Amino acid sequence: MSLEAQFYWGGAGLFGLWLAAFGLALAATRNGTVHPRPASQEFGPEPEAPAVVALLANGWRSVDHAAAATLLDLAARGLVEVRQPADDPALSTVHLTGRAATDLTPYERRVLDRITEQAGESGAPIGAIAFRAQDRATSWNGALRREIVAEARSRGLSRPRFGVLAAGALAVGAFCPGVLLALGGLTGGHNLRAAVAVGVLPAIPLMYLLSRALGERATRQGLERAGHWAGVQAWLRAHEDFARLPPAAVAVWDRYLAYGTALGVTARTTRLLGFDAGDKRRVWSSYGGAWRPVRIRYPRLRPGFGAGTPRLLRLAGAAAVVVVGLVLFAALRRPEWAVTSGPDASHSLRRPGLLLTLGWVGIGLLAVAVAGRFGRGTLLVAFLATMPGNFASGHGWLSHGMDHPGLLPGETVAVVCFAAVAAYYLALAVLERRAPRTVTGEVLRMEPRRHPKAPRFLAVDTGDADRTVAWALPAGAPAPAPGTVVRLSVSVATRAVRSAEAVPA
Amino acid sequence: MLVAGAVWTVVRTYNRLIRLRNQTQASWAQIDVQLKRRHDLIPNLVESARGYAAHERTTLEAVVTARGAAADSGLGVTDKAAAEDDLTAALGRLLALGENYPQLKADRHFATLQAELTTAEDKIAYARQFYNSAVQSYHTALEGFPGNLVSRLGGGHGRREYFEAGAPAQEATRVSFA
Repeated sequence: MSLEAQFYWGGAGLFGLWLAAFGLALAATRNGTVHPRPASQEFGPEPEAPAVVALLANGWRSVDHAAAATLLDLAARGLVEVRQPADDPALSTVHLTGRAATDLTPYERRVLDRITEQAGESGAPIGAIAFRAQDRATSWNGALRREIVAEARSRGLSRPRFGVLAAGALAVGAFCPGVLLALGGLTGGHNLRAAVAVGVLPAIPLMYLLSRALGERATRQGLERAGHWAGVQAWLRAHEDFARLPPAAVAVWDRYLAYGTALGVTARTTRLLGFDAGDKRRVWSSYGGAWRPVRIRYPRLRPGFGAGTPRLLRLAGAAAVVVVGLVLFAALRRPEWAVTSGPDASHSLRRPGLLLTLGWVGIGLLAVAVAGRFGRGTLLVAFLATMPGNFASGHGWLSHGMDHPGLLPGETVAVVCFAAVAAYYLALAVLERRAPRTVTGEVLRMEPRRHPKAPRFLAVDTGDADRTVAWALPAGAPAPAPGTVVRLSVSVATRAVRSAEAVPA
Repeated sequence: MLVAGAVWTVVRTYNRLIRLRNQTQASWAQIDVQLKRRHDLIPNLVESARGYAAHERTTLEAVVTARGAAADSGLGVTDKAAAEDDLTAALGRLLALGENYPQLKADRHFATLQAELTTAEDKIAYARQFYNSAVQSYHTALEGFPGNLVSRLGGGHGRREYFEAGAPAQEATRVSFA
């Protein structure tokens, strides 16, 4: 076996060895079994905070519902108050009681700060506690998790899944197969860049696996406490009412509601108290004075959304190209262009179906080029689009189509539709030239689009309506943060934002 | 298909009724546990008080008598609630002695027992809440459809009494002994 082959086989062997070692490490560090204690209402002496209980109840994997449970715990301890003014618990509000908050853990302080930020002195609906941006929600919840984990570790309930040494060894080991493969590449005469690329490649999935496995695992004491809380969970779950309790029921059930939320048995309360990115179609806003829910519509399918005049003219031109192209094609084509009989009829490139399809696809390509959407895959799509016509070339109605004088029925429909589209875009282009309107309001949400060049959705509450339609913020423009009051210069026809400036508070 | 659906509904409802009935029993057992804890504290509390206020015999005997009545295991829910109300009222008078006897109030053992009593009272209040919640769920299932029909198939179903504290007891649980 050549030296090159030996390096390659060695790399493959090390890859397998790493996977085996990783599997063994996973098996060795898996959580022990939680043995639930009998159902009981007792918290026990010096019970853990609900947030830590959430970590235990989620198998040390996540801290789902920990923030909501902490809010309820703060309410049970009299630091905040949850009020339900009407039958609908979704309209409940959260208020600060003004009681001095001492001896709070970092995560309790974080939750209280968030409530203070939203509620101020006058209170806020519980729905307004949610964040309006995914990245902020993710970062806030990440920090919360770290603080809860730190508390659990200090209580001896949790520990890192892998020690520093094991994690370091696995991380270094993940690059070893690549080193051998890179050496194999160099020995085989490949250049250094290719060898490095081959060397890095196997480390990517291995590092991904390792990063997914890093986390927390239970200690013996943690398993015992998890068993105790499993008993409390069974007790609370057996009380069917608990699943239907609203957040304001904390006034009656005190910490039981907080622990119930941490243990995942208070479905209704959990649904209403979210510290995530919230519902992007329904956002609570206090702009204009009073808190109220604002419904947001995102016009994803609206033609010309956010487009400027040049773009609108190009789109109108593309539609016009289709109209003119189809009319010209119908006027110019002759039945004698097609070959329908004779020995070569079935193989000829002049079969009626293929001719018609080529004409239509050609017009389409021209329109795409005028619209400025000619991309890498356009020709491939165009080629595939000719396939049905190519395979169905011998069909009777296609032969008849070539003989038909003037526009075919389908072409007539297309001409009418594209003429309407061209007129629509032209009208938008004309309206776009009008003086922009000024809109002032608070940014509710900023939603990115899948396509990086597409205009982003900017939902703004002007304070005078409970519904709003998102504006189109150009892809390159700086994005105002949710909660900022902005003055926008907008084009109503296309909902494009022409300029935006922050209004000082 | 229809018959299978009907049978499934009956079985599911029957099992739910059994589960809810058992939950009322378990909740009642929790109340019993918490009450027993309170009863166990009382002799020590009386002894502590006797050391400083021996001549308040009437008050001390009232507590002992009320405890004896409340500890009777043969009582039903309503009678038990009434007996506990009496005991709470007697305890309130006993604890009020601390105001007249500064030495008793300053006694560390007495203060500890008072604190334990407060904890016990809190737990009793929650246990009562759980019990009443369980009874309410059970009654709702029992009287709604198809529970009202399925309950006639057997299983010893019937209404349970709520554990309702009288006004004196409610006041007593809110007393701060600290």
